[in-house]
Amino acid sequence: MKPPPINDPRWGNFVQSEREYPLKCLASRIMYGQVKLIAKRDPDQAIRLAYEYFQKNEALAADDLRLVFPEQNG
Amino acid sequence: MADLVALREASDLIATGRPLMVAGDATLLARLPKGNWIGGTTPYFMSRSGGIVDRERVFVSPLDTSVSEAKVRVYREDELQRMVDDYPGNGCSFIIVPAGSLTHLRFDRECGSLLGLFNSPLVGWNAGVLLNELATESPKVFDGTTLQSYADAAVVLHATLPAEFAAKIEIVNPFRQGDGDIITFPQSGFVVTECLVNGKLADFADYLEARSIDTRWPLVADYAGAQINVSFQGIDKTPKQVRLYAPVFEGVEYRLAEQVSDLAGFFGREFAARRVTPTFSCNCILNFLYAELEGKQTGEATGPITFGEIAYIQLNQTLVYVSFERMT
Repeated sequence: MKPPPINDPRWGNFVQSEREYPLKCLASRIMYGQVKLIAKRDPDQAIRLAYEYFQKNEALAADDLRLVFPEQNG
Repeated sequence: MADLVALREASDLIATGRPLMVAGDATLLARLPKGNWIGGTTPYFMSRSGGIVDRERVFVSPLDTSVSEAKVRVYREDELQRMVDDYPGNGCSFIIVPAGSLTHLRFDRECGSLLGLFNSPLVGWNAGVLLNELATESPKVFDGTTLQSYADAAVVLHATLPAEFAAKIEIVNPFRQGDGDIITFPQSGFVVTECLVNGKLADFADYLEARSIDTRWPLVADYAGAQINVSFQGIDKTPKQVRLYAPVFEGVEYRLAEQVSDLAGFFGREFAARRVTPTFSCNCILNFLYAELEGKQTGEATGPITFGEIAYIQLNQTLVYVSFERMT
């Protein structure tokens, strides 16, 4: 499954969300904790960080990507 | 198989060309031959026979034979972004940094803002020394390809894996956030004076002392379910301040850890339940001390006892391990 394009507005929702995603992978969890901190001062950098993470870790973070974007097919 | 071995056996393993992580006394590491290895100093280990203090042998962690390429690089404190840029396309980067060095402090403070930090697995540890030699000895890291040692740099082994494998980093943290006060900090840093307790400004040293807080148990942050510790180093009276083994960050909510009974037994039980043989693992010196791990075993979780652990970011009082998994 490929992540949605970086300009998809759902990325902004993800990095600035108050929702608690039950992410499985340790890397996803630590990444998300960092991203949410960064998003408070620089949402664009946070989106870039999250997008690249899922793009570069397709195998490792596939389940977490499906959790965050359940309607994404690919 | 990862374990404490004599210098001769470590040298033979290096001669095979297999990439290795090595831990031990500086005088032993300096006697190893050149090869595809990185090393760091510590005299504390979790061996297959149990926790031990040993200055006669070194701990070798051979990387899995699935590794197709290994590149060793050295990075100074202002080169950490280059370390991330050098990540393999598919693989894992193993890092060792001397505890307390400027490189260590800078990594801790700035790792979260390194562009691409999470794009590939990064795992490793902080080198240390015998505790009663802290005042006179400096931790060191070794580039095995050159036999150069450094008191202030990160040595990194970038391991490439075939496409069908992925490196998976996991932690075993005995500590979870308790249900007490939410503590935040108006400024990030390793040394803290002020804090906010449930939103109200307070002196952190006064807060801890008024409640007789047992500072063997860390502060804990919750990163989307991952429990991330910040360990206490000390509380000073003059100046009045609290020193930590990792920085706290502004904007992060911390709580003091829940009490843990049977800290020693926890690691063995938890690791056995995971049914994994890691390619590398390490555990914190504070766990070694507080859980009195000398002479006790923690199953397949063998490795150096470290002065800080790294799983993408700096961790404290945590067992960290990485395994290479075949992806279906």
